[in-house]
Amino acid sequence: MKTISAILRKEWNGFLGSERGVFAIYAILIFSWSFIPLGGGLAAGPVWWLFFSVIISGNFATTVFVSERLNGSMEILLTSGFTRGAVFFGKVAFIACMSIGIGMLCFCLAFVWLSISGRPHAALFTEAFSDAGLFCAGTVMNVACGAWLSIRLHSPRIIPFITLLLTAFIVAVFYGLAYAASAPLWSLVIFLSVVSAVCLYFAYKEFNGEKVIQPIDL
Amino acid sequence: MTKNIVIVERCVKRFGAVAVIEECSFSIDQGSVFGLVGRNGAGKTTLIRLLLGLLKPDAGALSVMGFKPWNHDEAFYRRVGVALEHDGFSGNLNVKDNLALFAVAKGVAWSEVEAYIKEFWNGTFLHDYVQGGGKKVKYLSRGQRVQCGLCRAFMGWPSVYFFDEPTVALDVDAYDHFCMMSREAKRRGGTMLISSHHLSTIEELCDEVGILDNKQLHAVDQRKPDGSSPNWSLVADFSNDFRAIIEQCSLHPATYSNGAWRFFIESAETMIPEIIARLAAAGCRILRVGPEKNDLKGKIRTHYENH
Repeated sequence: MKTISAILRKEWNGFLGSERGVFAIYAILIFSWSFIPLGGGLAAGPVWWLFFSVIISGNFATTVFVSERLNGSMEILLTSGFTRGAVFFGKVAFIACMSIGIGMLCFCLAFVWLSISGRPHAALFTEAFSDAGLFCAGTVMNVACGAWLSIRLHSPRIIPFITLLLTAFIVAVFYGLAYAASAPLWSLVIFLSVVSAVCLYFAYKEFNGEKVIQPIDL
Repeated sequence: MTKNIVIVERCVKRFGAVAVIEECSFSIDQGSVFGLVGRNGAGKTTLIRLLLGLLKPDAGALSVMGFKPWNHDEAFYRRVGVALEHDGFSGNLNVKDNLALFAVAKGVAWSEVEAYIKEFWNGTFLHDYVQGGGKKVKYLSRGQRVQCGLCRAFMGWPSVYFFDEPTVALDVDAYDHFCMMSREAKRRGGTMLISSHHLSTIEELCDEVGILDNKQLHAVDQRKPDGSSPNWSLVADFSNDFRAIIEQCSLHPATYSNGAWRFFIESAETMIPEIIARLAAAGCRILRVGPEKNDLKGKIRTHYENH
């Protein structure tokens, strides 16, 4: 745990040391996305929140996994004395925490806008709760998928597109099932969690292989 | 009795259908410094990656301190010092935070790191940066980053060191500092593998030199632990009797060219006076005797011509 938290701290401090423009972009993203529920309450639909999770986690996965390989520091990290598990799960934990944290910030801001607009939002808590659960499950899946693809692929540019396609496919299947057999929203959460576990398994497997240091095409 | 710390036996590494290393075997004794040279693309970095467990051999066996590198043992990596092509630092963190991270990885207490920096890096920018935090690593020059990487590699004085082009971008002082640190590591029993195209680095530090050529490692040079060459040259008359005397004493074949005998000798302190005495007694005129100047570049060229 000490080594995982050391990797987590490294990533966090690295993020804090980013250029100011990076923070400005995240602020704009959170601010603009928080207005979406004003149109249809917090039940703006799972697609919006899942799409948001794709953007956030895909970006962090690219930064955390790909840039490390790109500048060659992954080799050093893997031979430094940290176990591969500590490096991998430390990075995954950082991306998940950041993505979920930003998503929750967006949810909180959405509540503020709803309060200011004077709309009754107490009744929307239940939907907000399920949407937040969906967002978290979607984020974990995107993190796991992003981690796997970032090791597996030579070209990291297509990671967000593939995660987006996967998310869209899962949501489309869910809506198909919901239409045919009235599948509840929590079944989507469970399905996303299962896909997350599968992606995480493959990502960890790849991380223990040679591909983790393969060259990257930009 | 010397102990082999690094053992490579009939190692094979392929990338797809292309073999980069084939049936490669060698070993490195404990406490010795092994220089690895070879053409660009010969597979030096691949060999180092195999020894570090970053790549998996397709066949053969590798052992470093008894560990199989591909098993990725935490204990193995804690006893290995590494400086590769890239420094491996997080650009957004300062020098102190970066070194603190690797101290956690190596299981070295920060107080020990501070004492190490104070003792061995005093007078360098690193000493000041670790005291005050310093700039973010991304704002350091390339040479400074290389020095940070070397500082990390020697941190905790590991048992085995793998250096891939460690002196690239180093200024004169930093180069001398690296040589001093390498000697200190060796004094503490460290074993090293240094891959470099800077032959001066290899000549200055290495006890043995191997050339990676045609997918295999060939020995090109071996020197005594004090750095002097075991090859001697004796400018003297030619006679088959003299040859017999030299070969009897040195226990190795002697060659004669350009007016000089050349031979390999294990123990110069005892054997050279005996050779001189016996040759003089046999009527040989000796003009000059001494260890051969180590011409690594010439030996590498000769190797390429012969293979």
